[in-house]
Amino acid sequence: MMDVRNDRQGRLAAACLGLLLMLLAGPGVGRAADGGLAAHVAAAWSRDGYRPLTAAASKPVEDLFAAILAGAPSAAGMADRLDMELVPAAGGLQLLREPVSARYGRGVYAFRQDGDPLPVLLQAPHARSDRHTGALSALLMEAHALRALAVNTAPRRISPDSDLAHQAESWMMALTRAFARAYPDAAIIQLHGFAVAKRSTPAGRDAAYIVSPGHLDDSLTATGFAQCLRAGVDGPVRLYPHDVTELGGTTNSMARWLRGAGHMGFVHVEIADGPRAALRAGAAARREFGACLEHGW
Amino acid sequence: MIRRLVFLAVLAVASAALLAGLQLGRSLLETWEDARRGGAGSLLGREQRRIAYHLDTEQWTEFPSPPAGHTLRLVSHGDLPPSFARAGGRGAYDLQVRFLDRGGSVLAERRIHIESPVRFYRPRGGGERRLLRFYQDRDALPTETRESLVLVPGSQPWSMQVRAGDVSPEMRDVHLRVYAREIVNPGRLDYLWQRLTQAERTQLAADLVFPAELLKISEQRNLVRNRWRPLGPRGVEGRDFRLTVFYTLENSELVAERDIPASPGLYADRGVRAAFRLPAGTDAVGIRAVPLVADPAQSSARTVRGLLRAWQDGRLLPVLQPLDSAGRGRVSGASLVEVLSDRPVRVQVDLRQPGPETVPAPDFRPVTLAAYRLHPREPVIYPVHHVAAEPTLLRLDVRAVRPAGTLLPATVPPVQVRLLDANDAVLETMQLQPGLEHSLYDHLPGQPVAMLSEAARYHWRLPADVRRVEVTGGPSLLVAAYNRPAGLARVAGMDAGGDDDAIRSRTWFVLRPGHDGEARRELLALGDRPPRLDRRRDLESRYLWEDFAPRGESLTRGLLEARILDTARRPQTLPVFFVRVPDGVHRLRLDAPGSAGVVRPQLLFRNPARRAQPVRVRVNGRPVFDGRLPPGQGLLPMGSLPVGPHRFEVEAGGVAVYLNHRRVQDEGLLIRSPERMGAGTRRFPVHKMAAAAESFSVRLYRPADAEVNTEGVVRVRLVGAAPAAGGPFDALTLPEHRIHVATGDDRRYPVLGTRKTYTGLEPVYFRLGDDLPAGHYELEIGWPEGARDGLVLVSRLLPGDYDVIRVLRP
Repeated sequence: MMDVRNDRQGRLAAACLGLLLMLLAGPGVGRAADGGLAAHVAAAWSRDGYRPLTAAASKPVEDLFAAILAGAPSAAGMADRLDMELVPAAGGLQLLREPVSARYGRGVYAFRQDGDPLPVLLQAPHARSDRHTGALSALLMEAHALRALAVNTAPRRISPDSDLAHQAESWMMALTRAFARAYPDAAIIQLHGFAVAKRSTPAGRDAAYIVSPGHLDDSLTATGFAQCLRAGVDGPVRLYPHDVTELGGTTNSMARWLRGAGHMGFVHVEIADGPRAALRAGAAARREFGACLEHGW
Repeated sequence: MIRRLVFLAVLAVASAALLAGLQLGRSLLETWEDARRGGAGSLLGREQRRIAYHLDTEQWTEFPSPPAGHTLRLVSHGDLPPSFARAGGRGAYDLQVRFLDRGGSVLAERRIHIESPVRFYRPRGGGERRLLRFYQDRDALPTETRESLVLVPGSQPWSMQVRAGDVSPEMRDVHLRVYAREIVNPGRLDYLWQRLTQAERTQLAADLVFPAELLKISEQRNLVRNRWRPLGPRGVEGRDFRLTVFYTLENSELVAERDIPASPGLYADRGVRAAFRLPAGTDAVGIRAVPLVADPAQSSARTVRGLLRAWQDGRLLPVLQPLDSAGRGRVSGASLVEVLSDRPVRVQVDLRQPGPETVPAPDFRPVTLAAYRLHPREPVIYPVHHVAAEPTLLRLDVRAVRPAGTLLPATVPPVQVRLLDANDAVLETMQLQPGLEHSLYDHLPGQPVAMLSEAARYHWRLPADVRRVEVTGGPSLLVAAYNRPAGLARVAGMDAGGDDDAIRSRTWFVLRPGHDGEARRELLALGDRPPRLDRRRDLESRYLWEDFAPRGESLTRGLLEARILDTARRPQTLPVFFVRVPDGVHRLRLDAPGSAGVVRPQLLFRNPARRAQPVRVRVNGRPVFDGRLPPGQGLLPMGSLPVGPHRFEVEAGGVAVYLNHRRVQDEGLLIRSPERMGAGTRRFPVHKMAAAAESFSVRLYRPADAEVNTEGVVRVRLVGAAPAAGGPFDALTLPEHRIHVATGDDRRYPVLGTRKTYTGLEPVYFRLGDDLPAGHYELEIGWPEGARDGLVLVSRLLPGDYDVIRVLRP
């Protein structure tokens, strides 16, 4: 009951914050009906299913992301040619999204172009099936100086190809590649959610967070992030594969590509139901988590 | 008329004499220049002044050609900007060579691609970077010289013309020296050797095993017979050619940086890890990661963020230890340590063995391996030798190299391999597309350090008519080749980590390319590798193990092994994996491996007491067992039960009760069924199911109380199989494996129905390659003499998830 109330308060606060930012930003800023990045993310959801990206078509998509990350003026034209919209959003963000007329589940992306953002790409590839992760990642992106955000916009199981965490090619994978090339020492942090009741090990059932590098080789980034969470958040933080032997994300396509290419900055974060709802609802808890996104790796 | 003829003859002789004189003069001039040493007039001390000829990209530089069939040696180098060269940059150019006859007709043309960096040197004992070759008058550094041999073609060649082409943007100029093989009268060979200075003799004998003073007369003659004399260009300096003056430093104390063994300690950075095995008996180890910074004054301000992973007997120790801000850490009870660092560091190690003092660690250095940079047109050429016309096994390892801080591309350029016969006729051409993954443990030393991929391995069984292999590909790729006779047994041993990759490599012999290859040599640093994380658990959970029964009488024993298994992932283990059911009332779900609706579960009991103890088990209110169980361990059948939840009541006191058909990931007991060994060898019929390579294992167990040492060599021989020739194959089927097995761990394995326990030796692995078609074969397994009272388990490992457990019988 408490969680539900906190959840409502959190959403109300997020909506108010978004509205305030929209008003401050003035006209010309891309906006969703209820304002805020979380609202933009929610509004980008595809009702027309998922259209997979072929390997042959992925190069221009990766080039588009590289251009956006480089701040190239040509990025808007490239987005237009790929039938996407690149628009400014509140808080100095740039939003890449599908136009209403062409919603194929290509995802919604935000980029912080101003200031000196930290080389962090936050991802939520299962925004709705892993409940709250889409909205939570948007709130974290708004409140912390992260470079980029990627959120899926089609149901994970609507087609055999729509689970972005297990596809060799997708718009989110193209961003992952472009980001990793632009920032070889970056952190690419992917948020997931798990149901405690479905876990098969005591360590899994007991965990609030399961942090993993997405492979069995360990990494400074994932270990550092887990260490930071332990010091800042409530609930047990387990590091895969040492403290827990499940939910390590070892079949995650983005984790595999990054490890194979020599980028050791991937962090797979599984959050249990309760802590996920609490993070979305509570600004204080989110602040601790966000501090680890910024400096905990 | 006669007078005119005489006049013309005299004129021709005089012209020839004049030309010969000019040529001799030029040669003398060059010899003089080459020989001139820095003395009172030299600004450089021990340096020698040298000349080369600048090559234009448009105008040809012409050299007189020796007769057809002679060999010319072209020695070239280029100029690179100092900053580019110091950063490890390489320049490239082509030598465009053509031979003309006296009438100006082109007899033959050749294009030689050259790529080289500036090579830096350091004193053997350490010290500042030096150059062995340099300029006095230009702001450029000469690249390492490259030598190319050119055979003079055609009939009556008159001249050889050379110019530079395809010069890379960084390369400022290209310079050339030309040498012709000196034809020496055999009678003068001994005389000429005596005329050489000691330095010249040493230089001539540089490539031989023995020093000049220990050479036989015949070897001395060979060296003198192969002397080269310099050739100068035709024409007038300034109009037809331009001289380049550079200096060489003669200093035997200077060693090329790439050939300097890594300084004590191992290298690590964000992309490369330092892993090292510790000597047996090491109690604890102290580690310090010292930052490698360009400016030592900054080092105090640079803190290291690092992490230690430690392994013992192939298992990762549970604690990851961060290094402190000074880069220090300490590990106890480990046999292998791995250091992760967020910046370039040199890892120093101190050992602490039982006793008070700290012992300096052995000089940990990576293994070095020569690999050769590929080029799209100029092949790396490997000669192939056959023993008595038998096929030769060839292995090519392809790696990608890239600058630090960049990512491995998704796809690398393809590699072309050509097989040629003794007459240089191409027998087969094939294209390989390596799929590569970044290596965490290997790197290319240098300044700066470069990253490497893991090797993509290709194997061939080359028939006797293949005498040469040529490899071409993109310059970001490196190749290393190995060969071995086809009939040679594989000799290997398992290390403590359970990973025999390093030892397997020793069963292959490194193959060096032809002389042109040395110019493209890179020395790779191959680091130690930890075993794949908890390799056994990985193997158990990701592979289906199919056990084979031997030909003849089969006598199995039920061996109990404590394990953590994920039966949800591997449902085929449901019948053989038993999970503890404590005393009390429980609602437990029973599952079947496939779609069966009914299972026949069993209770496994272990009574540690010396006498029988009472046990009572009821399922769904119905008694399953109510009586006394003897000491030891055994199985109790429970009859058929439907898949689904059931109510279990257990009253067992001091007896441990386990139940199978439980879909969990938990600790439990796995029942294995090894065969009794007996003396000598036994044959196990195996069925290779697919054309792809399949992995097999042999595991030995010995009685825990055995006094005989059963460590030794396990022999695995494939009977009645004829692997295919050709390639490339992912894996080759080797005719015989002799694998040394060592004691595994101290775990005791109880045997069902007895009070006996066994210990396990390290399992051995081998493959039947994709050169062997699917079909039925026999493996003959032999074991150490002392192992006759032991048990043996022969299994096949198949990756993936399977629903059916199979025990194959002959």
